[in-house]
Amino acid sequence: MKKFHPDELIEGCRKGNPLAQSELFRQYAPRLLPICYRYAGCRDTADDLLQDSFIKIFINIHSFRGEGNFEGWLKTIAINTCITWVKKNNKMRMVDISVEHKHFIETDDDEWLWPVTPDELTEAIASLPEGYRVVLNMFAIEGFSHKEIGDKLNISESTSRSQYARAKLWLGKKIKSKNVKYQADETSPQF
Amino acid sequence: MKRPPNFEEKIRELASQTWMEPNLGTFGKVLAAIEKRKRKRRILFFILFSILTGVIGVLSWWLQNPTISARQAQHASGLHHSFSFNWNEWEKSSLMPLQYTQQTDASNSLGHVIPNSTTNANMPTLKPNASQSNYSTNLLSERQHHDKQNTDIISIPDIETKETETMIADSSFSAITESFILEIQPDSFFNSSLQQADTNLISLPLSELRDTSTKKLQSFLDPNREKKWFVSASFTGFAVKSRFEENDISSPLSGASEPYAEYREYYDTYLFGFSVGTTIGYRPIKYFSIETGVSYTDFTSYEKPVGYPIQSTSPDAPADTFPIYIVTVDKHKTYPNRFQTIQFPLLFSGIWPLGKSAFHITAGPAFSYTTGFRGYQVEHTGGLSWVDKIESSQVQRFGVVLMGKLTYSYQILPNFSIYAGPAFQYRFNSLFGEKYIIRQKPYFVGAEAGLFVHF
Repeated sequence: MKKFHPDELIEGCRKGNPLAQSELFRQYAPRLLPICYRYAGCRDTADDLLQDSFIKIFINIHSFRGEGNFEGWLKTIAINTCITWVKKNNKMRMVDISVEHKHFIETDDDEWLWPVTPDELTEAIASLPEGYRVVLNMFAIEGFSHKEIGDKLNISESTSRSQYARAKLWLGKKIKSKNVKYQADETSPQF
Repeated sequence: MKRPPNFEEKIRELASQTWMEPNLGTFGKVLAAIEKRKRKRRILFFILFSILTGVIGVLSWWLQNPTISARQAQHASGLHHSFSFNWNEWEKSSLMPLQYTQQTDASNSLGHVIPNSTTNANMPTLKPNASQSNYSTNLLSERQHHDKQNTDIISIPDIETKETETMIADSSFSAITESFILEIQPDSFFNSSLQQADTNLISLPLSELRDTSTKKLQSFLDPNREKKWFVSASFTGFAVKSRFEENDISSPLSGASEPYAEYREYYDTYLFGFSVGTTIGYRPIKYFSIETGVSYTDFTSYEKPVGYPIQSTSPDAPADTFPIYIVTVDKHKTYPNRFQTIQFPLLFSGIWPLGKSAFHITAGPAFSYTTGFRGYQVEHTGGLSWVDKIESSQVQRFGVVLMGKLTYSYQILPNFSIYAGPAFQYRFNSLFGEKYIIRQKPYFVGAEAGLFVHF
């Protein structure tokens, strides 16, 4: 199998070289698929999103000028593809947090999260309800602000905040239950 | 003391470590989607090309036509409301042996339109010529059939018989043209005014302009001045070197370590073939035609395998290039693959007539059906290669072909024309089925000759 230098890889993809395209896919698809999976929540849809992402990547690779991180550029395309899919499919079902739940936002009880493996975390995020999942991904992982999330998803900033708070709670419950299970299963619990 | 990572930082770190293997078929779907998109772009290109051909045909007609339309004449001269001509006055005055003696310049004695001294010196001086005299005479006889009480609108200026016996365009005319003064002598009245009409189109009667324009339009739309229908017979010969590709995708199920495309082989292909066809066409306007028919194409591609990339283990080895080598006892031998197809073209032509000859720019799709096939393929196993016959079931029978040609025709008899020129064909889909590892979309470049029979 031909080994490509990173610059060669990009140049080969620009020229439509299928070997370079294959190599790019081989190298980066495993890193982009988890992003798609976290947004889609199911493997089939994630594969479709990954496919759409790579179509956009191969078509628009000429617009990558070599400035900045190539992997970051790929991830941006994958994230935008996922957000577009969310909006297109009207997946967001947002519920404003009620007053009595507001204290959750300020609660800093993140300790339940750790330790958790990357795969477990991905699975847990993927199992969240749609609205929670998307906001959690965008805020916690992609680093968007609530205002940016509101703009991108056409929701209010407060809705984004409330969804995020609920997502954290939900995620905590998921992982806690899993860790409790681990504790029961293992002789030396992780925490 | 280092601050412990907060929730977001920790979750971000974990997310960046996630690794998931994609499905095997995803990459194939990506390539297929890109190919589909390319195909759509080609079809779009073809449609735009066809439209462009039509537009060029129409434009060529307008460019060849030096006469402006009546509407344009009215617009350009603004004469519609300004110049009404009273036939009674004109006849009375024209029958009188008037002596138009007052002239401002010797050069206008024949009724020339001369530039006003106060206006742009670049404005042309218009002179009559002999061929236009007949025109004015004919027009005169036509006019004499008019009801003399009627007033027709013409584009020459109001003619006023003045005591000075000088006919000068009225102020409205001057205001519009701003540069011309019309001086007319009686015996050259028509010569002067109507010659101007033919020359600068300002003085041509609007009714005549309308007639002219209508006739032009009719000649454009009415194919009776040309033959409406035609049949053609053609022969095309082509030869081209091309390359087709053969994918060999290893699957994890078969034990390969890499789940994606392992290598891709290329074969140089030399195509030789011919095509004979006949079409029937319709020419709704002089500059455009549409035709359809049937053609038979027989071509043979002689293939010479040139190898596939093999990565050297040596770090000093240069990057591999094509061709590398092929391990086979049949190395460098050629294998003929023969295809026989029937094609049904739908062609659109833009025509640029030049007297008896014409240029034709023709393009359009053709629907192809492969009727016969015989082919061979090089197989590889364990470093050995051999030639095997390709099953005809692997052939994609239906295909869509883009045809194009630029031909020059010459009319040798009233109803017969011969033509010749370069021709081009490109097949949008592969000659083989989607599931087959060989993908080949041949393009042909050749020459076509044939004849038209108009009826």
